[in-house]
Amino acid sequence: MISLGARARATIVIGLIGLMQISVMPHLTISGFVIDLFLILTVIVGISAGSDKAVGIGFSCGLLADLVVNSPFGLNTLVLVLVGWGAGSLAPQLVETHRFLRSLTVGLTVSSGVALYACIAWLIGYSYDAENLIELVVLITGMAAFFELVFRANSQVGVTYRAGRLSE
Amino acid sequence: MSRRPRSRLRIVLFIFTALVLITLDARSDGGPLTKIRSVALDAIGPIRSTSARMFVPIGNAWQGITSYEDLENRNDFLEAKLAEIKSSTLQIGEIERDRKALLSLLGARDTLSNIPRRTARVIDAQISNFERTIELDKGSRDGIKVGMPVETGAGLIGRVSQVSVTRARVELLTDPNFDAGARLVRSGDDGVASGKGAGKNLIVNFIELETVVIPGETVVTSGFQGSTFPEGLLIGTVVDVTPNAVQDTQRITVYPSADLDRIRWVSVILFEADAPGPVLVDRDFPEPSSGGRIGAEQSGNDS
Repeated sequence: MISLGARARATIVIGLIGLMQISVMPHLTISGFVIDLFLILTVIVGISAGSDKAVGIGFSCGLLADLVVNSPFGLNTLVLVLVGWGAGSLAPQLVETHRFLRSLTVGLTVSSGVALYACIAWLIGYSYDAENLIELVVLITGMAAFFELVFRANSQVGVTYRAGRLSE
Repeated sequence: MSRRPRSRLRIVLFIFTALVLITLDARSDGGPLTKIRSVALDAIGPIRSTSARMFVPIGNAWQGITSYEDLENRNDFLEAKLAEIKSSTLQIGEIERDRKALLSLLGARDTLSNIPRRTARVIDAQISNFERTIELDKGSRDGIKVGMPVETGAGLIGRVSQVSVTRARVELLTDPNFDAGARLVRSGDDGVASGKGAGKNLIVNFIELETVVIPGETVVTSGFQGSTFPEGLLIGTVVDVTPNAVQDTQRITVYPSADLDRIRWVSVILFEADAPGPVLVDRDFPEPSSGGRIGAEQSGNDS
């Protein structure tokens, strides 16, 4: 069972990520591509905390994304739930893995998410820019791996800090 | 119930909810989901406007760093284009004078220029990589409706795809979901222009194989009855022609005349598909008019 505090934290994080996605990210594009923070957050949560939490985060992020974009309503929700579940399933295999391999896994899972989006969009008849897909996948893999490295480094700093405080 | 089956049930429930939402969205055009999105568009509008003011300079600096070569190429291209335009301006002025003189001789009206327009500022760029949209600072309270064409001085840029009270979202003509009836000005042959993605040219299909198409030829909207575009809106110029002998047609590649990368201000053409008579030129007959010609009855631009 997820505690009330954890739910509140998750809501705040999703809110902040959502705010960044709609306000900051459209202006900080790389080669014209927008960094999808919702997707990256879902994958990082999946790999760090397992599929149970990632599916919930993916569902909330997906609904938020569906509210603000023009694509069929529910498409982002479906993709992020599946990605969260997939990323969470990989989590047990990555507990003792080297951080670079872990980052690479995050990157590849995120790019699988982009490919999954394209597949489902194609299935429901929603056209997308297919020729830029490979470029997008490569870019987002790199970005997600980078975010995972930063996230991990920060969480390690946090853990060390908390451990230090406890030992005092 | 143990933890694992419960978590599986949760996943299934989430997937089911998403599938229901997709189905609802596909089946109900203008239904509750569209209304929810409109409310969201209004709610995030001020945030996006403020963030645009804050982050556009940062974004421009970032673009300068990450796309310096692109900017340089673009600058060269625009300089060449400017030189080209300078040389043709005089010629166009002369042609326009001739056209107006001919219209007045025929007792005809230029309907396209009489359709009212609403000038709007582009407040933000796309959020997702899978769509080519821009957001405008005008909405339904300014008379904007879904489907209305949007242009800059250089030509058509897209159509309104979503409207809230204070905001409108425009699907650009490079969006893969965009299509419009197109006409080759020289031959008068009609086809369908479709978007192929950001930075790519449009494709016009269904042009007959016998039609002679010359690169550089102008392509405009065809404006058939029921079309969301009036006749004669500039789309772009032909850059390539590929014959398709199997289908007995030609595939025309069209370079959009409007610059879609740096749009700041646009005009929303207050044209509705169901209004009768979307014609470029119509004669003024002496007998009483039945009315309803959009261009004849509404007037004035509000810029």
